[in-house]
Amino acid sequence: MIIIFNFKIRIISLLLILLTIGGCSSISTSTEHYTNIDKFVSLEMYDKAVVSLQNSQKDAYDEKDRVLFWIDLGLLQHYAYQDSLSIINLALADNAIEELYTTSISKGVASMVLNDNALDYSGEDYENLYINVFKALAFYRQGESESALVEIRRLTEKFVELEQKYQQEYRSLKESDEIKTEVDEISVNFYSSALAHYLSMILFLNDGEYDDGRISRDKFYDAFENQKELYNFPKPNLDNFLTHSENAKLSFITFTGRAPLKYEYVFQIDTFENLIVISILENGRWKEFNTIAWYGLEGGLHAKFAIPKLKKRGSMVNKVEVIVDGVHKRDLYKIESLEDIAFEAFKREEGIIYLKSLARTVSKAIANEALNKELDKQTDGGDWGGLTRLLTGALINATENADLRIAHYFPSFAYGGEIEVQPGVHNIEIVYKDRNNRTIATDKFDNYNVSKNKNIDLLETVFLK
Amino acid sequence: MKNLFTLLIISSLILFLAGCGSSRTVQRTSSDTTVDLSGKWNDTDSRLTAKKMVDGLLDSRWILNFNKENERKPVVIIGNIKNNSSEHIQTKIFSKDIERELINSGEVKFVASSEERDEIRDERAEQQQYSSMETAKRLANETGADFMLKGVISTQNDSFDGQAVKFYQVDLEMIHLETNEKVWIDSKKIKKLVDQAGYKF
Repeated sequence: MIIIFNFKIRIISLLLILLTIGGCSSISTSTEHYTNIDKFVSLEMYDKAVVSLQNSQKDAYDEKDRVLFWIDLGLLQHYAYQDSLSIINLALADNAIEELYTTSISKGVASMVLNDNALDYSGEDYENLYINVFKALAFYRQGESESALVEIRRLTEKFVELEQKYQQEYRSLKESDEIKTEVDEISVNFYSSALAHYLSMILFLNDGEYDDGRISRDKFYDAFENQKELYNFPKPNLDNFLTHSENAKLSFITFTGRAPLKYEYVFQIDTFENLIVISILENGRWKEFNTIAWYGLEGGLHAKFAIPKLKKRGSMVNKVEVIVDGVHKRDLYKIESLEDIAFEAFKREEGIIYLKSLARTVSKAIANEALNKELDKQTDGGDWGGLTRLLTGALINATENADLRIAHYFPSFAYGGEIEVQPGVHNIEIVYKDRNNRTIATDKFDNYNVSKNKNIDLLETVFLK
Repeated sequence: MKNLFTLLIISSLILFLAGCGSSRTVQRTSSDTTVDLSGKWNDTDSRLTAKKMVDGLLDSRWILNFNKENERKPVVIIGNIKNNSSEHIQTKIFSKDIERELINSGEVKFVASSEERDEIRDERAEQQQYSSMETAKRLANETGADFMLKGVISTQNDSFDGQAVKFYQVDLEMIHLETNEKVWIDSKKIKKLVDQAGYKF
């Protein structure tokens, strides 16, 4: 009787825990608040999008999500021309990412028991890199080109730091007692951003530093030549930037589309002696995906785990035209596919998440089996024992959610280009066209004063569709 | 881990603790105390670099040569100290540190930099209209500088196996304003080793 009473308490406790953690942000990602913000973003009402995001801070973001909040807020503020605030928030994100370079031990334990949602969000690698691009653009708009160049230099350094981070991370995984299988290192072929070099070239030219501008132009070309899979579109010719002209030079940087989101990808594991069979769901049926050796494992365990995968959102824009005083001057060329770079940069992280999640699920499944065997022994395999098994299995599945946190407001593509115009006041239009050459939207700069006093002027536009 | 129940209790505790913030304490320190939190360029780097570079500047022969030729102290103006690094360094603080060291040495005279001048000129112009004849300062009576001190701060960082090396280089040069002649040039390097805790799985 006492044993049955204990089981009742345990089952009620399990149910309560299951209900509690079902809606807990420590184990799942909250995305509902984006609906309202997205509405304003699609209407290009960025001021209102900023307010909407700030209003959702209390309910939708925990302290562990601060990096995500600062990135999204900083980006929306950038699009809303709130440059000072944007710099502050992106700098907060940048500094926090640097601090989170090392995962704290306590949060590491939390992620081993629960999942990565319990950890501080430290930003995806591509977010970490492009934060500096948007800070640089904001500094430029504020007339601080020296600070803008600081951001580009910082971005270049981050490539080296990320490489170091992953070498450490792989070494740690290989030495870990939890990982009882071979760890394959995934390499990433992204180590130089053409967009960053394009921007630094303009900044150097703006300061009259033509030698440094030429070096940046050459690095821009190298980025295209050496990373052909990521820069699989025509390499633009930037030589005109460096030539002397009696006219005023005006350059453009235009962002279109929306960067990728994450979705949950579920795996099922079935264990055999020293072996795990991993299956994926295809057309409603579990299909064998992979079989891996896992030393010291017993057979008969079954569990599920989920990892995040990226999903492109792309852009409806196929062409960006520059019209000056009603005359077509040029089409802008594509400089960077931020979405392709997000995919490439995420490859390495995804591999590590897969291994960590697998190890965590195996540990939980082993513990669950041990508990239920003990309960079976005490109840002779009665009904209560079966119910406990069902609930603990559900609890494991409930805690195995993919961490779907990702910044929502990066663009998917960057375009650039330069024109020469007579110094003076002009009406400038940036026209966004779709695949059928239909105009989707136009950004207008009426009575824009193009000055010869500046070596080069930079106009930035955004169309997040 | 003995059983899943223990695991669940730990999970619940973690869920609660994850939301708990830590308290913050503030400790006041003397302004010349060295506090290096991140390994980034800080007030101590600025102060010590300025002191060492000014010591070198004053020890070199250009001041003696100038005194001999002109029988007066050289007049110096601070030009642009450019930040070519990957950190947002307040070069104005560094400029002020250099200015203070140089003025306090008594070996050179200093005139206001181009940024400071505008405000002073505005004030002087207003004095012509609103101040008494006796107290209003004369126009076109500024002291022209003989030399301009210019510089660059650059960085080079490297990291490996949980350790990061931050390498700062400060280059300063004194240029004669009439002849463009560089009368003094010096470089100071700061190397900082920053330990990063290892990644924990």
